[in-house]
Amino acid sequence: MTIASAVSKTFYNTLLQKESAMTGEKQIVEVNVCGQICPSSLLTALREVNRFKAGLKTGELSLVFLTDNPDSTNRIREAVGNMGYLVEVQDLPGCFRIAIDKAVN
Amino acid sequence: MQILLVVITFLLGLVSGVVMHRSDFCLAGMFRDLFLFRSSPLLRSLVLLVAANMLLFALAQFFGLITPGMTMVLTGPPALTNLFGGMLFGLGMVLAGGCVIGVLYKVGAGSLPSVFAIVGLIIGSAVYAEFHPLWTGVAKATRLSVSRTLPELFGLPALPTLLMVFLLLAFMLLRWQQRGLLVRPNVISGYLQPRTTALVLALISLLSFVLLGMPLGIATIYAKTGAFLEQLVFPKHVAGLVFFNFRGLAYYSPLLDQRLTFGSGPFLDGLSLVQIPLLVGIICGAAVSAVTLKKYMLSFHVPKRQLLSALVGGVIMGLAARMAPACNVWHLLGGLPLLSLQSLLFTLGLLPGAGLGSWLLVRYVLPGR
Repeated sequence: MTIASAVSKTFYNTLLQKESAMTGEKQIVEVNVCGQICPSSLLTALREVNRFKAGLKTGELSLVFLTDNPDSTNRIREAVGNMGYLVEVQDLPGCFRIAIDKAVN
Repeated sequence: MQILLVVITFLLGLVSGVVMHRSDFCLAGMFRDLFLFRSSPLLRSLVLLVAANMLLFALAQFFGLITPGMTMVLTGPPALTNLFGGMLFGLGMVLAGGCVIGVLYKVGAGSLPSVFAIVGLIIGSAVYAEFHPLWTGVAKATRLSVSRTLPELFGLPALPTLLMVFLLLAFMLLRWQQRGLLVRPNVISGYLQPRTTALVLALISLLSFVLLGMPLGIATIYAKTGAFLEQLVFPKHVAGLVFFNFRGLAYYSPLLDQRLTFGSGPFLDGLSLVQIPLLVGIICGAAVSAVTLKKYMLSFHVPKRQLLSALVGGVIMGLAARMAPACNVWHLLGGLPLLSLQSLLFTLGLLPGAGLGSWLLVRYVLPGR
């Protein structure tokens, strides 16, 4: 797994921890919003989903959010799910991992 | 007996902290999301909480567990200052990312911005002391009525009116329940439905009212802490402030069967007796909940802008909680269920305040938009 830092440099917010890694064919962009003020999680999720729309739609890219805000798991799932994406929530120690992918038809 | 009082209050706080953390029961978020996303599923649980308190308080009054003297603490003649205080409070709580009680359960779970919000609350409450006499004058000058409650204003009998309003709310809640709008998806471990938390908090409010003599409230302890800290630096100045010297407020404590006096100054009194254990209880409850769910995490990767927002929001909220007077928990969970005019005005003010806060939050605080 290599970190494609070039991708993260294009983000206009350097304060958020963002990493993108290449795993085989699929690119995974990870955004960590743990500890941030509400409603940063949902707003950041909506913004990033919009930014990576093209990649998400073709299935070449998958977005991963790490948040410690319990209510965000529902809000992101609902909002992004309504946009037609597949949203998966994982309960990890310390935070929640929310993965957004192209919906399986 | 005082020990028993402290233990009971601590336990009430502890349970509140656990259930609020489990449901992420954020009162500030409920109002904010209404403006930010035009949908606020958790706000319906707040309606449930207010309605439940309305019924419980009415029943307790009917059976004499809550006396008219006890409800007096919660009501006062309404003034425009209640509306303005509500607006300011709404703005502050959205910028702070939590209200006076929300920041406590968030701190318990390891939130750094909430620590900043609490520091802000202490500063804001202390700053209020500087213009308290002036503000008291404004409140008097803008007094709207001598009636304290909505039934009083229209000359209606109190309990039947409360029951009528409760039935209206109950009808609305029943419709939501039938349409599945009171249930939230449950995909994480340890999640507690907000409606359950609302009912637990309603029971806690009742116990607090019946045993301690007043419903939940926490804001005065921030003022007392502010006074205490300021006194360490400027003892002479604090000694000269009317707000910090007045001890003439009082309430009846059923558990101790005596009237307890209190003030906002840097001393222990009848109010710190309940608010300190409550505050500690909420933080501990949330911490226990977070640790057992393996969700306790203190993250320092928080943008400075967000920390500043939490601090400024805290200061605004601290000011507003004294100007309103009283905080959102006091008004929403205590005054509103009694149809107190002050609380109705405060709640009305919360809406535009939260709207403005949401706009500022998106425009200036959360980056990259």
